[in-house]
Amino acid sequence: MSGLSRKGFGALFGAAVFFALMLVAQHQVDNARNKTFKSELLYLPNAALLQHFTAGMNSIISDLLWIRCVQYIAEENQGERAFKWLDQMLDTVVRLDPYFVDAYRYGGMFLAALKAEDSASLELIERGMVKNPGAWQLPYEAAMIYLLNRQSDPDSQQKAAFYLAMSAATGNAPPLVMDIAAKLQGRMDLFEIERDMWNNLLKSPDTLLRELAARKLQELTLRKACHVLNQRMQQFAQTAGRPAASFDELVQAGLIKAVPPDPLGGRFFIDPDGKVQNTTLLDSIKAQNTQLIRDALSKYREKHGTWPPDLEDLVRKGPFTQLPPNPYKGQTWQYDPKTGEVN
Amino acid sequence: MDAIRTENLSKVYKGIGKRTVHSLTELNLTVGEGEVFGFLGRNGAGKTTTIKILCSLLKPAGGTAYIFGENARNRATRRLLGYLPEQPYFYEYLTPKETLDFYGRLRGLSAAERARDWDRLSEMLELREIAGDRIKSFSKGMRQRVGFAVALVGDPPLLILDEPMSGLDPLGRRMIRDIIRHQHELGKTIFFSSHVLSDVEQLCDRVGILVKGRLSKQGQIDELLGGQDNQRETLEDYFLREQQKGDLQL
Amino acid sequence: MRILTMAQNTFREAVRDKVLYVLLFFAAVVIFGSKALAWISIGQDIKIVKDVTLAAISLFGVLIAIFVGTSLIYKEIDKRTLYTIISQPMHRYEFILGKYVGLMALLAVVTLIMTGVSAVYVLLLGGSLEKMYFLAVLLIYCKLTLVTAIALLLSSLSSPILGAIIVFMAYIFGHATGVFLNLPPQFDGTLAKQLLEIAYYIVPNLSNFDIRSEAANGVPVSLGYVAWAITYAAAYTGVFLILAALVFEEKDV
Repeated sequence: MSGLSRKGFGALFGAAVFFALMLVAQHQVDNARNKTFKSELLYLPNAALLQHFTAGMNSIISDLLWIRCVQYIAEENQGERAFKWLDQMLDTVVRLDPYFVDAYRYGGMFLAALKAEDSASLELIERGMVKNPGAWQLPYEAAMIYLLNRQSDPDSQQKAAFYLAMSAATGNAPPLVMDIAAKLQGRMDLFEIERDMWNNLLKSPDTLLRELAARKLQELTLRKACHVLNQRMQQFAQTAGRPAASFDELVQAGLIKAVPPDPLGGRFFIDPDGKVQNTTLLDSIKAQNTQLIRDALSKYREKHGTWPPDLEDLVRKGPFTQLPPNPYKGQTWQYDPKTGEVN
Repeated sequence: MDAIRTENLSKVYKGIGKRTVHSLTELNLTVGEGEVFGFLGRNGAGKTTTIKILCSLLKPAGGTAYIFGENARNRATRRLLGYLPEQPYFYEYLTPKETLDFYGRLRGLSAAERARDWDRLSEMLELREIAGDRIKSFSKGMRQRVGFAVALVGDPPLLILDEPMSGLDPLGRRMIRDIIRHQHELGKTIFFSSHVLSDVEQLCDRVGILVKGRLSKQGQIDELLGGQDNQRETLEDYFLREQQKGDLQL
Repeated sequence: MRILTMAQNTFREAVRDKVLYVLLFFAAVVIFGSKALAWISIGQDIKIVKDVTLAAISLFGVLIAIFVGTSLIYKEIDKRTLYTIISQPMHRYEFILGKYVGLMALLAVVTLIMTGVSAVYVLLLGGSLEKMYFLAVLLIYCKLTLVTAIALLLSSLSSPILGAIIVFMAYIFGHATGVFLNLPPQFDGTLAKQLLEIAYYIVPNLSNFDIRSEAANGVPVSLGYVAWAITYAAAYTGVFLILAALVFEEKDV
């Protein structure tokens, strides 16, 4: 019996010695690694790989990483303020969850405000905009970066106005954004900047982006044509003392040679307010807005169980702050509360 | 010197949330050297528990078991015994030859001794023709033969066999009986448990009867059953009477 | 000697149980996995292949360690094969150590083969292999010694499924011990911080052995670091093996 317990004591003593050695080794390991690397974040796996190895838990891991990222920002902010791994962390977060709007938005903000990396910040936000075209926050944040970080750029205000317009065009931006957008846009002609931007996108390796850019450039030409036609209409009104009733009158007055063609199959017309419009442009806005309303309708139905009695209920009970307008002047949305159809 | 002696051997099983089971209560057993000892009892009487304590698979709750005068819990003591568990299991992926070699190594036998053992045992238990097959494919009788061979590796003076004949066909039982007799003639002590009374009656010098964890009788078969042939009880009657006494006591 | 006999037999069991078929899966995962990933990403072929091979070596090694390790002792008890072994004139710790050494030998062979396959594959693709790559494999093996020791301890305590779950948890937490130390400043001086610091030192720290990113990116790691990581593995493995032996010594089977 005593022999057995002596053996047991010996074994426990051995275990204790090994345990102590283990603690020493851990300490040494920590020291050695600290000398080699400053941060555990190097072990953040390659983001391109990680997204395939999360066993279907991408968004949860993305959330955890985002929390860690915010911690990291706080730590660095009190410490070295180097933010060395911020880009990589943000990249990983949004790769794992490409629809994580807040990560793009605040990530972009942190990059610009704390690390003064406004181009990386804009790049991140633009990635977000491609994935989340309906999020007003992202173009808004991009506009803010142009206004705050890039004041010295000659075209910063124009770029900001462009992004604000994009934010407003999502249809769900708060009124404040609309206001700022309107104010900035009133001051300048944005066609040139916009064309440059889309031209730039035409060089993208991504076919989808190239197609998008090509379409946007064509729409831009149409908008420009509308703009020119409107100027001619104003000239006509000044000389004739009355608004033109049709484009023919402009041609007869020698103000234009002919009505420009629409390569996308639409046509130009004069709306009841006397403004020149193009059906392709209006149709595309109408399609966007219809989709927004449809989304809102199905959300409403999930929440309340029925279709709303009328579209105004989407403003009264949410989610809209105001109803996306029908771009055709004089037309209103056709809504059937029985089927939830909207046109 | 006694081959097996137990002093107040007890075993208690305690499970979490289960009631305590006294599997063995103050067992005092002696088996003389060179005897064939039959260990009788119904299923659950504590036969296997006793055997496992003798082979150090279980730690007794109280008391001590001695084998040839040495504490059974000492490692060196186990050199003196060969053990055949009830329905022995071996590594399924080994052949009989590999199995015997493996146990020979564990016993610390030299290569020459292991080869000698294989010759001796494969002959005795007719393992030659199945020497290269994996145990996986073996029938019960073949497994029992391998088990016996394993118990005999290193030629230990004491054999402890747990229900060596259970589940075998008449031919297999016959073979085991012959081996036990043969080993007895070689001077080995054999301790085996059984609930098949005819086997015990044919083979044993002495028997012990275990009822509900207590030893109710041990002694020479002839003494227990009464001397004269015409008055002599059968072992079965005797066993049943002992069993009933035990039931009344407890 | 008896330990070696047990070890040899454990090795043979695993081989005849077709554990080595895992290697075929390994080859498939490495070759198809890295091809697929190389399609998705751009211009980093060799780095990705190295990442994938190291990850696969670690993954398959850990899978064998956990699933074979946690059933190592339990299976012997469950199938009653150890009755005739424990009753031989041997110490019980010899049985435990023999089983452990046998499995570690198997893991060594498996790791070596996987490393060989990976190395050939990387070289065939026109990559080069640095010392770092092999150090990473060495540390993966150290990790396996520790994980197997934990699995062995649990195998002598509980059923394989429960054991596998616990070892798997230990594996996950073992890679995340850094979380216990990197606490925000508001935790300073609290009991929670002290407890977490203790936890940091007690939970087997498997991230010590993770230098795969460095290896794949060609970042050097000091030899001192590697030496201490090996010491850590050896010491903690010793602790777990002694505990396993103590548990098993007193066990009724």
